[in-house]
Amino acid sequence: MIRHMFVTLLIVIAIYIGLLFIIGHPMVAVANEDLNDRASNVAHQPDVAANTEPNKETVFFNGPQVVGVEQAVDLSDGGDSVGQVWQLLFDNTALLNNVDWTKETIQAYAFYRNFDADMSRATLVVGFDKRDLLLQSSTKETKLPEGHYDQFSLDRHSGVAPDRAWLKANQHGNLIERHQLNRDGETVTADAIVVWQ
Amino acid sequence: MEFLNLPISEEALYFWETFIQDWGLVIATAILGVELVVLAFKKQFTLRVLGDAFANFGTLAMFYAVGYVLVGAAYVAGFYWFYLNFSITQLPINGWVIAACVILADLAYYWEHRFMHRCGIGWATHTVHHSSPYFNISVAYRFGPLDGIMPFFFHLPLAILGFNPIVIIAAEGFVQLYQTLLHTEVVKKLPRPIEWIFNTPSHHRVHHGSNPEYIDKNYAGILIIWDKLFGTFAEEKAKVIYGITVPVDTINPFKVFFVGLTRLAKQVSKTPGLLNKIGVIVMPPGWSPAQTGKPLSKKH
Repeated sequence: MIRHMFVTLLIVIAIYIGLLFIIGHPMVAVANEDLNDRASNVAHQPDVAANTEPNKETVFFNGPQVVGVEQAVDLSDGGDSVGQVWQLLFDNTALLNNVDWTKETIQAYAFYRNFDADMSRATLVVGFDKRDLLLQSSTKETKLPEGHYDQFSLDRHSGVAPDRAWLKANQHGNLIERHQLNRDGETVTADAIVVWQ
Repeated sequence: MEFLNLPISEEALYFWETFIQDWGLVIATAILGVELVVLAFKKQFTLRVLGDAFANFGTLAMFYAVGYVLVGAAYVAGFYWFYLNFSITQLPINGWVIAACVILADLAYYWEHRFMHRCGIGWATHTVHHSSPYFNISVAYRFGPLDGIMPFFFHLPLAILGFNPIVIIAAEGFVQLYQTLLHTEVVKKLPRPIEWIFNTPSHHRVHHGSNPEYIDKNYAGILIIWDKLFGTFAEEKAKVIYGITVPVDTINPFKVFFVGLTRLAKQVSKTPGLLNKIGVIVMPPGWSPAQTGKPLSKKH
């Protein structure tokens, strides 16, 4: 019986780790980064492409057109200015009425770019995927960057991307939060990605 | 395979889970009709068979009453509580994750099923399912009082691994539906590769057998490979004698529903000493202090 349980544990671990690799989960991406970081430290070489190599075949972000609002934000104010940009989006009733809420899920994005040197300020675009709109919109459109990416889970309480995501963002100049909304506008799933070409 | 990476919403998954379960019952009822017609053609149809089928659905009604009203909400809430507070990560919902969850839920089902046969309290509830002397699709719906609670403990690790509770419940539902459709004598043997990998009506008939060589065999849900891996597999060779060795001999659904717990309670009450009483509840069926470590035949 004990032997059977041990075999079961090995099977579960194998399937689970296999799954994490297939979906390019950040947990295994981090493990790879750690290994690569150590290797690069020994070689005194900066880590760039090598760190994210394992994700190359499995994940590609197509960079959709986002319709929404854009504003410079202070990243060091505890999220106040970011919250204000989201509020601007939800105050835009014309845009909200133009979203096809009959779809099962709606994609909303928060796209950070133009970081300053100490990562305290950035430009933030918040909006909906253009394909989720019913009609052409006169609201500002932004094309998100496309390419291979690293994926990160958001903190389940604060909804903020982890520090390692911001480190990557600093390196590659972008960070995109993807929010999948249900018909009531509530977030169903969310994650953060950093696109590296 | 790119479609397996597409995100799937909780709402969509819940819709399909409900759809499959609802139509599963409709399909099962239709199959029962076919089975009864086949029995009629073989001149094996009796009112007792029909009464037994009604008793099976009667236990299903009581199972729903116990399961849905008393523990249904707690079951889902429990998964969510562990998922939100203790999971090592939170996996997205897409085809890959659902596929992996179904395989792991199938493995969890194997162990849950094995536990139900090899633990006194488990067998007390699961004996209801095995107590029918017949084998048709309605037997799949013959549930015991605690059958809805036990799966929680075996599937909880999936929530801790980060599978969304909706995905876990959908995977459980899929395994259960597959299992349901195995309860038939109409299908004999399937092609050998299928019989080798998957659980089939033939394998599951063995599981319901009270023949000595069939006892405690073929616990699998979808994949029979678990039984082959863990040495609990038996091939259908001799004609299967269905039921338990001490028959229930009633089609009263109320008596059928509580038969296992009643028998366990009687056994506990006549066993001397607190530790021995606990032993009767947690040790394999048939265990008694006089034969410590040597369980008696399970099909009591």
